[in-house]
Amino acid sequence: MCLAPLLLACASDPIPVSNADTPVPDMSGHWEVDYARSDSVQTQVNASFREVQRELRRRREAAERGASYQGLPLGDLDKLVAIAKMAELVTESELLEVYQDPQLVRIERENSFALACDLKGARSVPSQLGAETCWWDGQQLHFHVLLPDGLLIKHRFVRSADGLSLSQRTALTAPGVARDMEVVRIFSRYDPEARGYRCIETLSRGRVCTTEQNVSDGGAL
Amino acid sequence: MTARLLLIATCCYLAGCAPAAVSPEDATADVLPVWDVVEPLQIARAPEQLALDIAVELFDPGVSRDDNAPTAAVRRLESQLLAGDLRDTLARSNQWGVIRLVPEASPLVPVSIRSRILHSDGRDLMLHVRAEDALGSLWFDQAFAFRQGFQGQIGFVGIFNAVSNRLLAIWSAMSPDAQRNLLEAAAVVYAESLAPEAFSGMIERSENGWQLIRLPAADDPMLGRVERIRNQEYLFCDTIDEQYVDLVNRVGPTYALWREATLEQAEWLERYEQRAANREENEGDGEFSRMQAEYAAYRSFRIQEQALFELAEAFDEESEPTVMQTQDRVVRLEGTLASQYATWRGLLRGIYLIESGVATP
Repeated sequence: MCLAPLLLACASDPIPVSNADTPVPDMSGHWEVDYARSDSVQTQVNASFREVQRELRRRREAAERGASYQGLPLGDLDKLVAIAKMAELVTESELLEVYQDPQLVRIERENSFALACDLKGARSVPSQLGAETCWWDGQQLHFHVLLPDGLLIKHRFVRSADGLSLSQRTALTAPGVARDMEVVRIFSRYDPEARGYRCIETLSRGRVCTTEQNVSDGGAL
Repeated sequence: MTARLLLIATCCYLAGCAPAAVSPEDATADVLPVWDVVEPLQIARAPEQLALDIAVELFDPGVSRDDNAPTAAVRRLESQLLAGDLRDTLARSNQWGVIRLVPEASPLVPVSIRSRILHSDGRDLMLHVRAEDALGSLWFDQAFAFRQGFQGQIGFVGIFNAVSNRLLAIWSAMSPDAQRNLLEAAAVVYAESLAPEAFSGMIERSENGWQLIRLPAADDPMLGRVERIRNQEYLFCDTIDEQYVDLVNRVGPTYALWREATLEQAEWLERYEQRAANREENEGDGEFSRMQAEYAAYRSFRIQEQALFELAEAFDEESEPTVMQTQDRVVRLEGTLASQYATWRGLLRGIYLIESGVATP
C-alpha cells in the first residue's frame, strides 16, 4: 500500500515538481489567526460524527429493508477521534511569521517547527521520525509530513488576492480512517511592532517575550 | 509496521542515503559497518624530548562548496569542529609538540593529518584519516566508524584517541636518530618550499624513501630568514585557532544540543519499535497517545535541527577576513581559510625573496 504517494515516491507517483512559471505571491510578514473566519476543530469533529451517525443510520435502514448497502467504509472510529484531536494539535499555532525569497519560503509557526520549502532545490526533509516534502503548484503551497505509523499531515497555504489573508488548510489522514479531517484556519496580517511586545522561540527557555518601546521613546527596553 | 518500513525506505530514497557499509567508504553495500570501540588515550606525563609538531588540516567536509543545503552547511561546520576535537585530543595526550590547525597541507610541520568526513548524522560518524610526514611518507591511511552510545555518552570526544595512539605507535617505533632525522629533514623541506634554489640537493629522494644528505650551515643567514617566515606562518595558524575558539563558543552549544537530539531520536525509535512490537498486548495505549507521541518526537527533533541549520547557514555565509601583520605592513586576507592561507604563504615567500635579494620590492 502506498500511504502517501507524494511523500513516498512510489514508482508510479513522481514527487510533484514546483511550478516555476507562476511565482509564489508574497506571503512574508507576520500573521495571526482570525478565529471569526477559521474552523473550530470541535465543529469539524461534530460534523464528522454527525456524518458517521448518518452513515450508520443508512446502513441500519438498508439492513432492515434487506437491501445491500454500497456506502463508503466507516473506518476506525477510535482513529477518527484521535485524528480530530491531532488536527487540533497540529493547527494550534496562532501566529505565523513568513520569510520569503524567490527560492525559499519559510513559515515559522508559534510553538512548532518551521515549514520551509526550497522551491528550486531539495524539497524533502527525511529523518527516521518522519518525512517532509513540499511544492508550489502555481496556486497553493503544499507541505506534507508523514509520521512513522502512517499519519499524514497535509498543509496547503494560499494568500488572498488582496494580500491581507493567508489560508492554511490542514488535512490529516491515517491508515484505517475513511475520510480526511480537514481544518481551515485563516490568518490576517498584523504588525508586531504595534503590540508593544515581541516573542521569540528559544531553545533553552521556550517562548520568551520582551516588551518594546517605540523607537521615538528610545528603543527597546 | 508496513507503513513504518515504507517511511524509512522513503527517508532513504528522499535523502539519497545509503545504508552504512562494512567499509565506511563503501557506502553502497547493504551491511552495517563494524563500529569502532573508543580506545583509551595514551597520555604521557610530559612530551618526549624530541617533540613532534603536528598539523591538523581542517577536515574535508565531503560536500561541495556550492551545495547550499542546510545539511551541507552543518557538514562544513563539523569539518572545523571535528578538526578542533582532533587537535584537542592530540594536545590532551601530552605526547606531542605543538598541534596546529591548518586549512590545507603545508610543509610547515613534520607530520600532517588529513581527514575526510564520509558520513555524519549526529549519531554516526565515519571518517577517512590519513597521516603523512613532510617527506611524503605515509604513516597510516585508515577509515574510522563511530556510533554514539546511549548512556549519557554524548559527543565523539573519544574517537580521536585512536588517531593519537596510531601516531604514537609509529613515532615510538622510530629510533631517536630517525626521529631527529625526520625533524631536521622536515625543516629543510620547509626551507626548500620557500627557496628551492638555495636548499635543494640536501635531501635525496628515491622510490625507497628519502635520505638527508646534509644540513644548511648553522650560521647560514638564509636559515634565520626562513625561521622568521616560519614564525609568520605560525601566526596565521594562531589566528585560525582563535577563529576556532570563537566558533566553538558560538556554535558549540547548539551543535551539542543537536547531537543530543539525534541520540534521543534514536533512543525514541528503539522504544517505539519495542512498543510497536508489543502493541497488541497494550490495548490501553490509545490511538491519540500514539499519534501525539510520534508528532511530539518529530516536532522536538525538527525544532533542534532547524536551530542548528539556521546557525550553520549563518556561519557558512560568514567568510571572516583575517588581518595579519608583517614587519612593515598590515595585510587583510579575504576569502575562504584555504585561499587566505595560500595568499599569506605567497606573501611570505615574496617577503623572503625580497629579503634574500632574489627579488626587488
